[in-house]
Amino acid sequence: MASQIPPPTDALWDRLVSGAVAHRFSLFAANMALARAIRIASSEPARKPTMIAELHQFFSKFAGQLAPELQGLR
Amino acid sequence: MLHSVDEANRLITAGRRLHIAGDAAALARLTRGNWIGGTIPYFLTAEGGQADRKRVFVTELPPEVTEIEIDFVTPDQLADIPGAAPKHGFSLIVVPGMSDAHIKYAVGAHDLPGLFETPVIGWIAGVHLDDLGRATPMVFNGQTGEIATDRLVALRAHVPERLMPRIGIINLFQQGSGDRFEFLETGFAAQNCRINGANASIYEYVKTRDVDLRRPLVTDMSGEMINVSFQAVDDATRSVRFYAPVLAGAEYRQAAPLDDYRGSLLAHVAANPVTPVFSCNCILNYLYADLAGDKALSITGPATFGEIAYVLLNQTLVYLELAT
Repeated sequence: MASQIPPPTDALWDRLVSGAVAHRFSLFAANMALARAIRIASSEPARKPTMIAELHQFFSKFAGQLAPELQGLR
Repeated sequence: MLHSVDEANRLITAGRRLHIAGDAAALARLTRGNWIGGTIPYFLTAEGGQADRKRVFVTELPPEVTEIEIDFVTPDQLADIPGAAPKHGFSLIVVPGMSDAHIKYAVGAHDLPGLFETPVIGWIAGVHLDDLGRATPMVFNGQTGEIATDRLVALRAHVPERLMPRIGIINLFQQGSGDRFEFLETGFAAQNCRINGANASIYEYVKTRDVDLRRPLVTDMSGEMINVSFQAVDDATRSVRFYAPVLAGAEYRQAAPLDDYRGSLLAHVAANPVTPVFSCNCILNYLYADLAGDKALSITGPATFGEIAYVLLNQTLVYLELAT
């Protein structure tokens, strides 16, 4: 399932970390991880690539549950 | 469920892996074994909500848990929590209320890299409300017999890959449509903030508008409603104190009113027919929903000074399930 997660270079991650996508994921931890990434990337833009990498890692770990939701956002 | 100390000791001696909540004197009489605990004498039980200083609330870990590790974590070691988490499993933590560990976890957990990758559930230990300011919340490492007031205790539970530990949260509150609050600093108390973009005194706001302090401030974190409950209005410092930190940069609104606090809590619980392996409920729900003696709640556990679902929450019921 992890292969169904878009690569970190996919524009979706930038949109997510920029807060441009309004979506509540079915996993509480996913929303909290995303909120953290948005908050840090907003206050420290230089860390945005790191936040995207961390978020990609998180979504890959829970791909079974989250991949279909991500696909719906592309 | 509630047990006498003798009954709990029999479970410990039998080698059961346990989480135990109770009054300090009761917990101090427990024998060494595979358990962690924390102080609180309020419980939601099958027999109803009750305060009990003599018995302890025991939650036995399910047989699917293959292995456990127990240790203390100091406030300076909080960043190690994600790395120490089991590859497949969950962490159950108890944090002594009003301690440096409580403050640092509450403020810092939101920013810990990797925290959200493995479930962390737990609660803030407290004291009987009659003892506020006199007694100190404690946590217990049953394996070593150590008691701490300045560190959190963590039980790391390993489960097979076929099981998915999943945290659930029952939160009665949604952001209301009223004024917007933004705080300049992260902390458990505030004097000033920005209200609808203008500098203002949160103390004056609460005092002059007769704010209903049972309704928490709520921020929206990517769709999750995160409550910060009012603790007190401090006339001496002209500040407002909270049970969790308000976060700098987050936008809060006071929760929308509930017509019926108790009815809303019962309806939310009824809508979540779960079989948790661990659960706890906020003492503010216990008080505001008037749950003492009330048998209506099907999800039992200690009534706590704060709930942990990765981060510190207020006025929620949190639980952990092992999903297949």
